[in-house]
Amino acid sequence: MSVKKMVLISIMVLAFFTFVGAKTVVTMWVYDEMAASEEMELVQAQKEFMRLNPDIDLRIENMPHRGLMEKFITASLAGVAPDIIHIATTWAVELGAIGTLLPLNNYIYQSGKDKEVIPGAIESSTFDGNIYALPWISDATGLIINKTAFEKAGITYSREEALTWDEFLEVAKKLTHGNQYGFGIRSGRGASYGWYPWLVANGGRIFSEDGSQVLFNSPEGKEAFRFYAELFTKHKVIPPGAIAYDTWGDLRNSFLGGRIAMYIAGDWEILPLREANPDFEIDVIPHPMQVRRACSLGGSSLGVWSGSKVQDAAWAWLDFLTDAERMGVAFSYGRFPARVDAADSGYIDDPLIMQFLKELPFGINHAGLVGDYSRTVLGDAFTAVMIDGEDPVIAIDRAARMVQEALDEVY
Amino acid sequence: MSMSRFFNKHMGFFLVSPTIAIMILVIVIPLVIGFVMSFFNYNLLTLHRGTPFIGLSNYSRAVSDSAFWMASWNTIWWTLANVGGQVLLGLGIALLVSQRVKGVGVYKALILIPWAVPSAVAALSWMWLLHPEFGFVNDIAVRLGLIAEPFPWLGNPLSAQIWVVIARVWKEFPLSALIFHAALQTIPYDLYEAAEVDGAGVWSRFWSITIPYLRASIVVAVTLITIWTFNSFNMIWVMTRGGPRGATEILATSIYKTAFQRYNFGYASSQSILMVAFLAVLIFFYLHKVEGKKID
Repeated sequence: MSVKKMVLISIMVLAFFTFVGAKTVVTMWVYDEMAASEEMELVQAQKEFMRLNPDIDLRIENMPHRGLMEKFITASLAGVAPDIIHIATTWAVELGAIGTLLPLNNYIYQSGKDKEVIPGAIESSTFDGNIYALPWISDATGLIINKTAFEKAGITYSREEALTWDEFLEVAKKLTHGNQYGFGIRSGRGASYGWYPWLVANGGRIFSEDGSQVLFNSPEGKEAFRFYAELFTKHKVIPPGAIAYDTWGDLRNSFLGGRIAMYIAGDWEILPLREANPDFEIDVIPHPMQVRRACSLGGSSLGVWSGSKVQDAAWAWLDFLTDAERMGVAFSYGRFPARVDAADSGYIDDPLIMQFLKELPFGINHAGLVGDYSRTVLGDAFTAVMIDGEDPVIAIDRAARMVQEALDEVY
Repeated sequence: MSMSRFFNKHMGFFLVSPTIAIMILVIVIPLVIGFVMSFFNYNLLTLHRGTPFIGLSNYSRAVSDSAFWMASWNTIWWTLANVGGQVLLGLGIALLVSQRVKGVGVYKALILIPWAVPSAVAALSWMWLLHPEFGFVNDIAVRLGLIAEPFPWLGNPLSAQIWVVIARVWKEFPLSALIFHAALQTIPYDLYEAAEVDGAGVWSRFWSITIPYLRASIVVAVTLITIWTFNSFNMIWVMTRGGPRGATEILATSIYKTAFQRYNFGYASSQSILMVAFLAVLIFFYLHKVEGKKID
């Protein structure tokens, strides 16, 4: 046999085995360092998935949360995005409308996930009839309170009955004395996230049903905006420094430092609060209500890149990860799986976490086509009222005009 | 011409060609794409409706957009304050570490620390220092009786504008300090001695010897700091995101929001082109003025 023939045969044999042994590579970006170490449940699930699907090579990469959406858009436009992306639930509408995410309707309906996932979370991921992401983790907000401060002020509370706004204000005033303030809020973009439930609780809406019209400056909206702002400007139950509370960490530190006695946040706060000070007595009560109950529905979802060449394999992993048997993954990070049967899963034995779970049915969808921009504009409106003393009605009308202009550009 | 002679003749070109190729790839091509995009209605949310040519509409929109002008004025203020702060602090530090004192090597190393810290880390550190409740700045100010209770430095428009400049000056001054320090080493010491013998005082020596010798370095430092500050994004984005109420909104953050919050890449491109043109004019006039004086 000539050398040439031997080389040719070797190449063919090599190519054959390469082809036979080739795996479908599926790439995924996750945030919050969920796959930071081998021991983490997501990595364990990844290993189990690859054992059950030996033809799939699933590669998970940790990405920082800040700027992730922009990174994904850029990578998608450049054609180098990961097959799967872990996103905040509210991003799905914008990313889907841009065309970076694959509509998952067929996969979701054929697998029956539509019956397994919390309806509100599906709604948050839907635009124009298309479901752009599969909700994985859900969270609802509640009122986190300093039990000791409540006891010292002689305030009793119920874990079942939500306080009305007037009752809430009365409690906040009682808790405001010395260096302590009754309530704390996030400023800037975070202000809108905190305010939306007050808007809906007062009978208002953020956007119209089809998302094309701004409704947050309705009479109900203006009333809710004024009430929320006056907690700071008129009643002074919020500390002056709150106008620079940028992150959840700022609120948490203020709470643990005794500067504020109540703040609204989700289940994600419990673990860091306990880690920071295990002896700090906290409790969770329902979000204050007016004509109805409402809280922010957040969480994270899993989307498939529209340009992915391995969409079926990507879905297989999503299907696997959001299965009832994998609920422990979400719980291991102190989070709720976005499943209707999460409460009965037997994983939850923490009464505080159960409190948040009870709020889930009142969760509101605050996703929108220009949701990110709306949050910025509303944050500026709050700042205008809180710092410059602008009339809340003028501020929210201006914000509504700006967001409507942005919506008119795209509808 | 033989092959070797051809290569020898064009050796310079061959050596710089990889650099030129990379610059074309990462600077020229994106600039051209951005320029072309600025004439189209390129909105990611309406891509399904196409990207029609709209001529100069994006530019006329920018010119009549009050937010764009506010960001422009903020950028000028931000750049001038940074250039002034960095040059003055850099010069002061350079003069100090140029003194013949014991342990000066340690000080030289220490002043490099801010420059070595990543921008995001520096910004987050400043945010902690300025924390509205538990920040070091508030603690000191309250203890000294300067303020009655903690103040939200980054929540107030004026104080936010001042603190973002302070943070960036702290972060970037080592560059100008290094440039000036290197230039100071080239000044013959005899000149100072001769001037002193002739009765020149400290200020006189500084203005008549040091500054003229540093002139070229000052031009370099001012030019570089102007360009980098004008284009800077990280510090402000991390510390204030352009807030409160747009008080620290500079062109870089404003354009970013147009692109990634409103997804209007066409309009963002036109703003970027205007920003580049604005910067080019600024640098041209500055260099022209400085070079002109040199000729005179």
